Amino acid sequence: MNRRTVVLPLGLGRVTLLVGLAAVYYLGAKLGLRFAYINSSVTTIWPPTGIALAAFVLLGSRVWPAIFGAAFLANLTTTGAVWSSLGIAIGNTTEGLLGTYLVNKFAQGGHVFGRVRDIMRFTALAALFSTTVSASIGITSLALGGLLSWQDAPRVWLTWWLGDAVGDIVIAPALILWVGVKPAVAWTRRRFVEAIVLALITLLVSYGIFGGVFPTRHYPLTVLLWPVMLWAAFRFSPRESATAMLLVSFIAIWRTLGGVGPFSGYAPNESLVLLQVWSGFTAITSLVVAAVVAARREIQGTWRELAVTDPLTGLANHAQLVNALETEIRRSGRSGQPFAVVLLDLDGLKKINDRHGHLAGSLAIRRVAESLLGSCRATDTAARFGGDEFALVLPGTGEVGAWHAARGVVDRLETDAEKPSLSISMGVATYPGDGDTVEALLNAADIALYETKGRRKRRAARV
Amino acid sequence: MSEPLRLPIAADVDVVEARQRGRALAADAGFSSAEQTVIAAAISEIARNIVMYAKQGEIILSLVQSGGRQGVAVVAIDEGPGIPDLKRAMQDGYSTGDGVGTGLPGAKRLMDEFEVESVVGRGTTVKMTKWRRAV
Repeated sequence: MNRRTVVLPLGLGRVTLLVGLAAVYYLGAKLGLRFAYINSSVTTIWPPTGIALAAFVLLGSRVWPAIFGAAFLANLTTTGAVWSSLGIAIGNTTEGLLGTYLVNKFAQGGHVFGRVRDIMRFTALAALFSTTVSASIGITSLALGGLLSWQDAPRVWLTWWLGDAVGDIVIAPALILWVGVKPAVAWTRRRFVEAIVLALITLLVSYGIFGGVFPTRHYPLTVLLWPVMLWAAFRFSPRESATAMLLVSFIAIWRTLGGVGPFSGYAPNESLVLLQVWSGFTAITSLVVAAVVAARREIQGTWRELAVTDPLTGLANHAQLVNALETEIRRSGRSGQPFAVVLLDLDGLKKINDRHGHLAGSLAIRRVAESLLGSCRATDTAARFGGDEFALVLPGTGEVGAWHAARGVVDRLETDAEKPSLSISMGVATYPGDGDTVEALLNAADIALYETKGRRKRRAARV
Repeated sequence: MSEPLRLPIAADVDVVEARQRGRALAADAGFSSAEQTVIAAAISEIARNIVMYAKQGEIILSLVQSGGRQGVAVVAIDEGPGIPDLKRAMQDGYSTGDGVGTGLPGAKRLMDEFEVESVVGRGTTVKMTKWRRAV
């Protein structure tokens, strides 16, 4: 399962990008500040930290003016204190830049959520460490601006730090995974339906846990979430796990603020602190599980691929060639459509090896492989099944089509100006005319191949 | 990161040069032998396309990096006749005999990312990238 990173679709101008990002950050900040209970500038719910980290990781540090400007404005419009807001904005921007620097340097940047080691580093370096910068600069700014007493500072610092850390842990993964990493396979219709069902059940279970559905008591049933998170990890990918966690977090915060659920029954800030600690641990654990599952899937894919390919050329190996032929025999047996197999022999490989060395010999084999890869269709199988022996399996193709395909290979080798120049001999067999078993087809193609070889040698001898 | 490699393409020998440079670049970036072959095949296809249809053009090879992952990026630019029916040109078929015959679908299949832009009378640009496998 090859993860691929998209080049960001930003044909958008730089200005549009910065303004858009600033707007998102500003809204996130304003939303977070609505839950500022212990100080008008300090909250346990702080999505902007995650937004900034994701933006820097995905778009680079060049977008800092958007983060800085939005952070400044959001604080200025809250407290009206210019210098404190400036200090906080500096802290918020530095935090994101530092976190990104550390994630890029030590945790694979945008691929941070692919491996357990990188997730741990992300947690330690970005979520837990880089956030101390913002908390420290922010608290100092507030205290210097007279908006906070020094006495309260340690307690408020903790709240600040926790809000930022959970912002990184819950928000950044979903953003980075959705925007930065494109999955190799598109969803089928069934997969799409399953994703919707998963989302609905995630919402339902979250509401069951946090919504206060039991009239008199708030049961601590947060473990009920795990089947859902495992579902997301095993059936989908880290991206869906992170998204599910985002939904859970949203509902949990909303209902806890409503005074219900397992984390209610304390002072508002206390409830949120407890909830956020829980969210942080749950999010990290589910990211780890999702990464392990995804890695296992990727390794399985790689193993499967290695078992059926020729390591020098990446073409199918002998086992896979036989497999492809068996599949086509079954398919053609049902559909009545013909298919063709072309055997191709690289002429004089021994001579090339002797005269130019084995490196040139390997290169010659790769050049033939390149010609095969270039000239066949997506549904064809190109194989190398012996030292200098290659084959093409061409579904839905008769003899004429097979010679066209073969001609494509010859054309490529003829116009290949690399030295030494290469030539190949070919033989074609079609199903069912030339045989209806793997052995019979390969035999027929082999006989045809040796006939052309013999003809060519006789012709060369006459000249 | 190394400078992008700009290679003029006008003849069969240039196709060879582009393919060899592509192979070497992929080898330097730690791509497996199998992956190198696939990249070289894709470069061959679009370079041959330039020689066959546009007569001359340019191929730019570079190593790219994204989130800790290495890739080889290939850009092919020509100012040839352009492709009137891109959809047809992208149809998978054998490149000889059926008259369509561009190497584009082959190259697309071999690479991870593939984009083609063509304006009739102005030329064609192909951008494609292959990412290194994990493990």
